[in-house]
This record gives sequence, structure tokens and C-alpha cells, in this order.
Amino acid sequence: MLKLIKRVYMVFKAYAVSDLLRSKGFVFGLVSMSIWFMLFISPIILFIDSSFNPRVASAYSFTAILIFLFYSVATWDWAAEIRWMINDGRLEYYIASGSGFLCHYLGIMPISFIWIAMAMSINYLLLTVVWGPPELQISDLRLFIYGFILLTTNLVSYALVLGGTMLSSGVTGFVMEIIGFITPIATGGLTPLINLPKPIQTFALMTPFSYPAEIIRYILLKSPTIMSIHELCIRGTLYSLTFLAVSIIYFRYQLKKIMREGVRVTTLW
Amino acid sequence: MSFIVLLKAEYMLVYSEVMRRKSALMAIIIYPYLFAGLTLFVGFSAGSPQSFVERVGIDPIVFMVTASYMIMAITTGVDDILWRPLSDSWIGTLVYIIASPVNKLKLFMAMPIPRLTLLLMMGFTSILPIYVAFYGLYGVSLTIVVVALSAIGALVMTPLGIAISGLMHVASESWRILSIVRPLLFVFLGAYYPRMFMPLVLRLISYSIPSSYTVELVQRLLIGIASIDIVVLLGLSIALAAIYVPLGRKSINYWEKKKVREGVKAH
Repeated sequence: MLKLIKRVYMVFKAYAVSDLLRSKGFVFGLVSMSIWFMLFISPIILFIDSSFNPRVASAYSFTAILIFLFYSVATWDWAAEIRWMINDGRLEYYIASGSGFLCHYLGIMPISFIWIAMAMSINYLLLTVVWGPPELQISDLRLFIYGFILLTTNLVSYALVLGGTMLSSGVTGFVMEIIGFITPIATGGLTPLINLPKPIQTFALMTPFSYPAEIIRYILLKSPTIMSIHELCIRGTLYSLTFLAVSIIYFRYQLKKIMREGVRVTTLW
Repeated sequence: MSFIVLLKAEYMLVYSEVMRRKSALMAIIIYPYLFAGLTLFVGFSAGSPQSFVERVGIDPIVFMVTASYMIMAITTGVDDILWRPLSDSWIGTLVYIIASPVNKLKLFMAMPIPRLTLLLMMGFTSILPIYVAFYGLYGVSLTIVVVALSAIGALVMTPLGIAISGLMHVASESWRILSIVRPLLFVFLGAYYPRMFMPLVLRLISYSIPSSYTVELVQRLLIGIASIDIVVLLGLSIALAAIYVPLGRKSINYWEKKKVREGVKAH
């Protein structure tokens, strides 16, 4: 256990120094991302009745961006990390050392969360400038934390599936980009399920992602939910645990496969 | 070297790349739908299409698909200009380009032209089906007009693109700066958020971008308030592009001289 904690700390330290302290790209990346969000989010106001409080639109946008960023982190920080590990040869070292990937991921996860916190601060400022401060209130802190735990569990599972696929097929950046774009939209990550067309609503409810997103939106925005909060929690937990179990089995299977067949070469596009 | 020879070389380069990388071709077809889908999805869930029609005067589906197409069309045109110096330095060809006697302004002017064929294809895969669904046969002629205006929009962006590219690539973190400048340009184009709704300061910046006039022209055309504005807006767009030509030449010369003086850095 002590060994694991030490490894986690070393990974965290290495990434904190390279990504947070040394890299100027971190700041540029945050600014760039905020502008991209503004490009796609700003037309929202055109869909809203002029009598509508813009601060509510601001709050909806803030929550949508928050959930989208969680998905992005799962795609680009966690799943794509496998790709970088293949490219720079670290994957073989991890396999040969027998330490497993857990310590690596526990080490980089706090970096991802720090990044989300900074990105959300910038987005909060931007939304405040454009529409006024988002009208947010956390009505139940315990439920809010529970929603985020469920969301994180789902996204870890999603990263395991995507990472596993990358291990065995060397899947391309283009595929990841498309998946990273479609998943949050199709699974109800961005908008209240009640506002979605019936077919997308049904599809979203068949995935584990929709439940924590509904809980988080309910807590932050008081938006109407598709079922009772109690039911959302029970269903969400069952879906999340099942998804996690399946994704671990899948990842392990892919790992065994590359042990037999060798690591694939990843493609740029 | 004549412009035609450079253009031929650019065509060969672009289409060998496109044919080799089928995923890039797929991306060109998918992206307008993805962008439009995202904006519509968020818009529909936060508000209603009726409010959009009341405010903008056009169906949001037509508007957003057109906006996404125009963004992609202008991106397709200007992206090569913005990124090529970097790409060439990454793959090791920049040193040959700098050493060659080719006029760099001509070279950069030739870059977006081969992409116009892709832009045409993108028009027929993205806006044509939507226009036909909404306007019937009239949608076909409307598509041709919008594609032509978008091509003009991509072309008039060339001198400004060259000016920005030259200036950006003398900086050490050029690709990071570009990753900020590029989305900023798209915001100011006013494709998703028309400039008539922008605050005054943003609107003034938007007026300095040549393609923003063609974007506005397409929007007016779809809303049905084009009339005499067609000539005025097109004229402004072309005039502004012409103003940026000397700036583009200076900027690209400055970049070239800096590379000759300091050498091309290895990556």
C-alpha cells in the first residue's frame, strides 16, 4: 500500500511539474478552449425568449460545459494517455515493471481535476461577462458529491473501454474526436433529458451517463428530472457498477491480447 | 516560378494527402453536421425554435447548418495558410521552401485554392440535403449561391490569413497562439452568433474581417433581406481583402527574412 501511495505521488509530482508549472501551453489551452465553448454556446441566447433571465441561460451553459469537460478529460487525459504511453514506449515499461496502471492513473487524476477547476473558473468569468453570473446553487451537497462520484465512475469505465480499444487496435485521433463529441450529446450529458426528443431520451437512459448528469443538473439548476431523484440514484448506481465491471474485464482482455500479439502502432489520424 | 506552376504543385500536394488520409475526407463531411448538431441540441434544450425564428427570422436548422458549413469552408481555406509553416517545419521541408527562389506571397496565395474543390463537395453533402428538405427544388439553386459565396468568403480571407500567419510564426509558441487566434476569428465571423446581436466592440472587430461580410450576406439572403446589400457587402469584403494584401506581403517577408537570418529550428 505504501509503495502504491509513493508511486502515485511520484506520478502526480512529475505531471504537476511538467503540465502545471513548466508548460505555457496550459494557459494557452485554457484560453483557446474557452473561446471554442463561446463559439458554440453563444447562439443559445437566440433560442431563448427575450423575457427569459439571461443568468439562467448562463447557469445552463455553465453546467453543460462542466459535464462536457468531464467527458473531455476522460477522453483526452485518461484514454488518450494510453496512446501517448504507446507512442513514447512507456507502456512496455509499465507492463514489464508489474506495477500496473492504477498508480499512474491515480497520479494523473488530480491533475485533471485541477485543470477542470481552472477551466471552469475561466468559463465562469466569460459567462459572467456575456450574460451575467450563472445562477447556480447547490441545494444538497451530499447528493451533489454522489452525482460526481457516479459521473467519475462512468467516465473511468468509458476511458477503460476507449483505452482498451486503443491498445488492441491503435485507434486514431479522429475516431476519438468524433466519439468525444457525440457521447456527451447523445447520452444526455449536455441538456436535461426531459427536453430531448423521445428516441434520444430512450437511448440516453440506456447508457449509464445520463443518470449522474440528471442528478448534477437537478442540484445545480433545479431543472426538472425525468424520474424521481431516488430512482435516478438507484438506477445510476446499478448502471455505473455494471459498466465499471464490464470495462475492467474488457481492458484486461485487451491487455492480455497485446501481451500475446504485441503493442499496435497508433496512427496520427 | 509562375503562379500556375505553384497552383499545380499545391493541387498535387492537397489531393495526394486527401486521397491518402480518408479519415480527413470523412471529417470534412461529418464536421458541419457535428457542429450544427451541437449548437441545435444545446439551443433546443435551453429554449425553443420559435424564439429563434422570432429573433433571427429563419429556421434554426437551416441557419446552423449554413453557419457550420461556412465556418468549415472558411477554415478549410485559411487553415493551410495558418498551419503550413509549422507543418513544414515539423516534417523538415521548411528549410527547402525557405531556400527555394519561390515568391512566398504567391505560394501562400495558391494554398487555399485547391481546397475550394473540397468546399464544393462539402456544400453538396451538408447544406444541399437540408435546403432541398426545406425549400424543395429552389434549395438546389440556393445551395449553388451559398457555396459560391462561401468560396468567395474563403478566398477573401487569404490576405488576412497570410498577414496573421507571417506574424504568428515569428513567435516561439506560434501553434499555441494560433490555437487562440483561430477560434477568435470564427467568433468574429458572426456565423453562429450574427454580428447584429454582438456588442459594439465585438461588432467593430468583426467589421475588420473580410469574410464576415460574405457570412452576413448569406445570412441576409436566407432571411430574405438581401436586395441591394449584395453588391455593397461583396464590394466591402473584396475591398478589405485588397487592403490586407500589402500587410500580408510585409508580414510574410518579415517571416521569411527572420528564417533566413536565424535558420529553421529542428523539431
